Amino acid sequence: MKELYEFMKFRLHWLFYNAQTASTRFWFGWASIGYGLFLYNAQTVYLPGSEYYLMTQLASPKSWAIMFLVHGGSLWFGVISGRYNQILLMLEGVLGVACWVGAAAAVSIHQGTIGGSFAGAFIAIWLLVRYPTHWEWDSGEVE
Amino acid sequence: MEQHTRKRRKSDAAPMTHLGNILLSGDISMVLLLGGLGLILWGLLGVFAFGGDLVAYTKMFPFGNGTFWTINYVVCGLAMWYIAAKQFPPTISLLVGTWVCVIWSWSVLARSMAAASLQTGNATAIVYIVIGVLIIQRSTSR
Repeated sequence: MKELYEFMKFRLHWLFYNAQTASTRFWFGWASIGYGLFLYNAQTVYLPGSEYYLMTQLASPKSWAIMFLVHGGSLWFGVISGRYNQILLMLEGVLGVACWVGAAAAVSIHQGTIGGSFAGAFIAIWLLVRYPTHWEWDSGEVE
Repeated sequence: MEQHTRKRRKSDAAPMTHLGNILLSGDISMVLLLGGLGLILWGLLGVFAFGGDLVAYTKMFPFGNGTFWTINYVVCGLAMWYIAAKQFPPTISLLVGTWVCVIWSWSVLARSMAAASLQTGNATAIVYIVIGVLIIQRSTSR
């Protein structure tokens, strides 16, 4: 049991501090674009019973949608082009945290308890923390 | 000065090859870890706030009450944590990936025939179906 605990501790530590972020960024971009398209098109988010009701009171669904779409697009652009710079840091990292933490908080407050959207907020925070802010990154992906 | 010109990844791979590598063999452990966390938190939502919305949600399915679906999602989340920690053991990963695909595909189908207010979760469901497909792909690519 102690060995399993030590293994899990090591593995989790490794994942949080050393795991590649490219795949997570790509698939999280997919989630952001999906969320954005859904908010842009859905007609039911205005209903008081909807979990997104408080979000729609904070900003219009289309505003949320555009923020999510920009975030997802910047993640895809960053992954495919392999670029890391301060503008993408703001779009991929800071905008992502703002969108996902804001959405998770609004949905959770409206529902009265935490929900699955918190996982999106944690992923956004992790990607912001792990974003390389200097060009001599130690993964070997930067010249 | 030179530091600020180093903005591009040094890679011999063309952009689409680079993307293909990420899609087919990139490390998705953190996706599973935090996606699994999402399912567990969803389960906690089911346990602690089983209100009208979630009662309606469980009524979409032909069998199983709220407890059944809460346990289903929580155990599925824990299984995703397990395979992320164990680095995708083939058989278990195949089973978990299939399980994730089945329950979330079922969710999409059920939602499409349910009341309009329940269709707000389709975006989440589609994300989880993609995660399930990725788990299956990783289980067979090792």
